[in-house]
Amino acid sequence: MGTDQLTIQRAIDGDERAMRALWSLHAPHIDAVVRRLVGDAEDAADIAQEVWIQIFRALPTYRGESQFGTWAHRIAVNRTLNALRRTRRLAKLETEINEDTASVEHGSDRSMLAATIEAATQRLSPGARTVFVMHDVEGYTHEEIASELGITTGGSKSQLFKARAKLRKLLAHLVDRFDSESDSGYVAPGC
Amino acid sequence: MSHLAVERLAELVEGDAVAVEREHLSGCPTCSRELDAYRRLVALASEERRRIGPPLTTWSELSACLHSEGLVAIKPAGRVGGWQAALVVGRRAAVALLLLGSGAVVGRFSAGLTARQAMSVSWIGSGAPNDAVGMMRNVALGSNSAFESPEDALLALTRAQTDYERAAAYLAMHDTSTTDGAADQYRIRLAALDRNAQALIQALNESPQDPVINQIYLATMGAREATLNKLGTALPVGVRLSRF
Repeated sequence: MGTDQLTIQRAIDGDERAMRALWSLHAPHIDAVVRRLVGDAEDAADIAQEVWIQIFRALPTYRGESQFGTWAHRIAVNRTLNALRRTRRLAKLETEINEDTASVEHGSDRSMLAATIEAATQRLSPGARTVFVMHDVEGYTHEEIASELGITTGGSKSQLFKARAKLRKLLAHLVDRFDSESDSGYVAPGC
Repeated sequence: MSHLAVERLAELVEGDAVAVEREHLSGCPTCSRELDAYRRLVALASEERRRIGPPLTTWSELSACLHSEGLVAIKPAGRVGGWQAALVVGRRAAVALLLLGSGAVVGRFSAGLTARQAMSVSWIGSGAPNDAVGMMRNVALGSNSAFESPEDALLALTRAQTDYERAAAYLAMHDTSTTDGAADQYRIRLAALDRNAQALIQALNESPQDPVINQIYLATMGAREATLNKLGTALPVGVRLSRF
């Protein structure tokens, strides 16, 4: 049995040192997932605590079929979505997706560039942010997102492309590649 | 054909352009540049997954919740007695004293004092008659009169450990001595603490009851958390921790 498995077994047995070792090793990654999905730092801290309690509660069901970090990551996403749903933020999200109300504001925020992708996602609606983070950051498929959020795959795709379009403008300074022949700013193609 | 719609370009990152779109993209620098920008955006997003940051949780708060949930096993009272119990308590107390003293020195040192000044402050702080450090020093020096039982001593030890962690967290939040080069220093410290933690976890798996290893492990984890938090505040604006 490897060191990780021994640590996990001890944590299952209620050994606080082992629990702390798992938390210490994985919290920077797990908490980052929560932070990305929730956005608001204060809410994220509360939800991260719930996530960790759930991870330790579910630990006896961990069979070692995947890496512990992968298994914990999945719990973190599920628990965070549950928490968002409970606080009605996800209810709003689902409404937005079903009604397809998230729109791309053409050229309205060119002057409001975001410093990082994390800062840019804060400016998306909860629905667009959740779908974008799940798909483009966390690597979920549209089918998985649809299943997790109770929406259609078409709704997931639509939300993702709108989110990308908005982020592309907010992060123009990071994603544009200029050369001497091209113009010096972002100009969305006409439709 | 007119330019492709922005949402269609966002979709084409995954490929699957139809023939007419491919033809347009090959002859339209604006749309092909846009598509490249979307590809870079998606690449940027996938890199985001590898980013880490300071934990949102603290072990002291999480531990309290885990205890109240009944997920942490209550350790049975030890059956060793006589000189063995005294030895165990004495060893734990000595290590706690060492950790508290060195923790205070490190904290003061990081606040800008010299090593000599920091040690001086540390020992002045431990001179208070009724504080945990004072009690630990008495035990370490051979006076067991402060405790009536090993349980009392362990209780004091736990309290001291909690104080140590709170002090480390406080210093992490309020230490204003951060300089431009601090991030590199914290990365070096974090890497060293991680190496220590791995060695200590291995040692704990082989000897889970060893009090010295336990205490050093807890102190290492406390220092690691504080450093990680500190590193999160020491990085320049716009730069986040992804590896160290």
